[in-house]
Amino acid sequence: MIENIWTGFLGLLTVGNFVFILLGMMIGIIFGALPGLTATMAVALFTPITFGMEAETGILMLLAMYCGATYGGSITAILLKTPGTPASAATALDGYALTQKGHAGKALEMALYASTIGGLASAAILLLVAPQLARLATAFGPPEFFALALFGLTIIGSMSGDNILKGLIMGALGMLVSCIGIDKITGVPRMTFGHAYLAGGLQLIPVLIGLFAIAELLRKIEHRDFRVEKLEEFSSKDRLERSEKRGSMRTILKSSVIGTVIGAIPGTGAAIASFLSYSEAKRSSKAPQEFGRGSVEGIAASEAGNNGVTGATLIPLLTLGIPGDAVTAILLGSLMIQGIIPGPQLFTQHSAMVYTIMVGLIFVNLAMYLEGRFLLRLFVKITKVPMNFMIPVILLLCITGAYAVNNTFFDVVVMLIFGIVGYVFTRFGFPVTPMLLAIILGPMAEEGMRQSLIMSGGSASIFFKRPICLLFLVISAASIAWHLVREYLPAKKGPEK
Amino acid sequence: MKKSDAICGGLLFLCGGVIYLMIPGQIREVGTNSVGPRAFPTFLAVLLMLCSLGLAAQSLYACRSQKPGAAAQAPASEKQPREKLPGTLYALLFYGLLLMYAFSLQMLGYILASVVFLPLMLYMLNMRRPALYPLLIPIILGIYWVFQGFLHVRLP
Repeated sequence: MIENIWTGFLGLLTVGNFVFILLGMMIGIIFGALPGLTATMAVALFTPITFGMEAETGILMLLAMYCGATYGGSITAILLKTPGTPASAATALDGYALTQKGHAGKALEMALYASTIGGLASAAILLLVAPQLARLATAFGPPEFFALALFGLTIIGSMSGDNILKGLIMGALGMLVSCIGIDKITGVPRMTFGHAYLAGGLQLIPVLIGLFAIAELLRKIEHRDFRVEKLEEFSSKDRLERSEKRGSMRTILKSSVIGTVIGAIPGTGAAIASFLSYSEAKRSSKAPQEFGRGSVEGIAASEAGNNGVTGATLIPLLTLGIPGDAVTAILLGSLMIQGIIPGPQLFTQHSAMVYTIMVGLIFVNLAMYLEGRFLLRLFVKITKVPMNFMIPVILLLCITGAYAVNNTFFDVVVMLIFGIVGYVFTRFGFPVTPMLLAIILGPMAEEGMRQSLIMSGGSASIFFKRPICLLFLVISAASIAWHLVREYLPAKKGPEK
Repeated sequence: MKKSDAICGGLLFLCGGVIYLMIPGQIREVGTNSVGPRAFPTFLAVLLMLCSLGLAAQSLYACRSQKPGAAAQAPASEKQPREKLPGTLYALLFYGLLLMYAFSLQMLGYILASVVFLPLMLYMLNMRRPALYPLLIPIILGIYWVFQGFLHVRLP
């Protein structure tokens, strides 16, 4: 393993890798800091730019964007009480209170410090755990991959939004979309309507830009929320004291572990990790009454928790090929476009690349610290750019990115269709993340199912005779049942009162 | 739970039904294997129909279970969709402009179409600071250079 890590480190040492990590980090922090723009949007928008790069350079740039956006949300959370991303909502509770007391600099420094440590801890755990899990996953066969895809879909569907049926509907629609094109097993065209462009199926990048960028921008336009907030000033002389750093270290480490565990579970995400870490820190703190009134410990917990997710979320992606959230779904798409299929075989077929990415994540977090430390005032200035100026520029990037996939206008049309589809669905409370994940996991689920039934001669008992497969199926069924019961029971109790 | 969930459920049920009926015409069955190319899409269409039926039923049940007080509040909540409608229309109008921009790319070319339509979008988004409009040109040219010159992606 040491040898692999060293190989990964050597693979990282190129000018291109460092330049694009720094560039990606800058873009990510800006996207994270601007309310209304998200890490998902940043990664979706800039994925087409990675096509011309080496696979590891492209992925490291996107990872830097992800980590940067997760940290960047804390800037406006602290200065404006408006979190740039949902993951920084808990940071706003204490961050803005400190700003009002004249200690914005201290709050910003703790956010950066805790984010860096959380991210580093997560990257270290990824480096240690992922190879072991990949070794376990080499025992997986088609039934296990089918059950795993189903598990990923039901967990995501159940955690997205407040209604499991809506999640399942979006999942079913996503999988139907993934069926468009030539069937891999028989070579028969499916739902192509005789259209040559549909024979290859729908490209992932235009679909995700449509669902996550266009749809989101249309919602912003609907609410016409274009105001520019006046940011509080902060002094660079307002620094954390050594005692404050030392006193928060235990909280930071605990929150990093919470974030890492949460991040490794598909369907959770940085926002859940952030709030869980915050509430745990408050519960175990010697001064819980200070939380919500300007506690640096509160900021430390929230930021370490949300950045603790960034490395861990790659564990199911790289080892099992299961994306844990929308960002890793996009990363999965980016890898597949480069001809690299995540899963247990990734660690044997592309070992050097995988270790370069995992070691590179450590440098991504160090780059975050450097940029946050020296470029913070620049990022704060950029948040003053009006949103109604940013929207056309982002749309320009969307269209260019969608076109760049295959140099065809058809992909732009696909993007626009999914943009309006995503907008309409989110307007009626349907989550779009399950749809995207279903488009990615649908082929794995179908291929696994059909190959398993071929192996068993058409008997479905194959799924119940293999223990790992059965375990995933039971968890999937239990997840759906639990959510249905949880949704049904409160409604039933209501009338009896 | 809102009434719109019941309507959505009904529409999606119809959508699932259309897909189910469309499958035999769109997917040719091959071989004697029972799990052919139609199996998965058929399963998904049925799943879609069942889930959307469940959503519609859930929504109707929840609406019927609402107390009279909650029903009296309904007029207030019904007012909200009317206030939001102009926002929705505005977003759809903007989407129409976006469609025009996208389709003009092939006729006018990337740079000309962007120079024409991006300022229109800015105006439609109530940007009333004239100094920002000229900034669009270097941005358009910069993005053009990154994709065409640096990444060697041929743009329209």
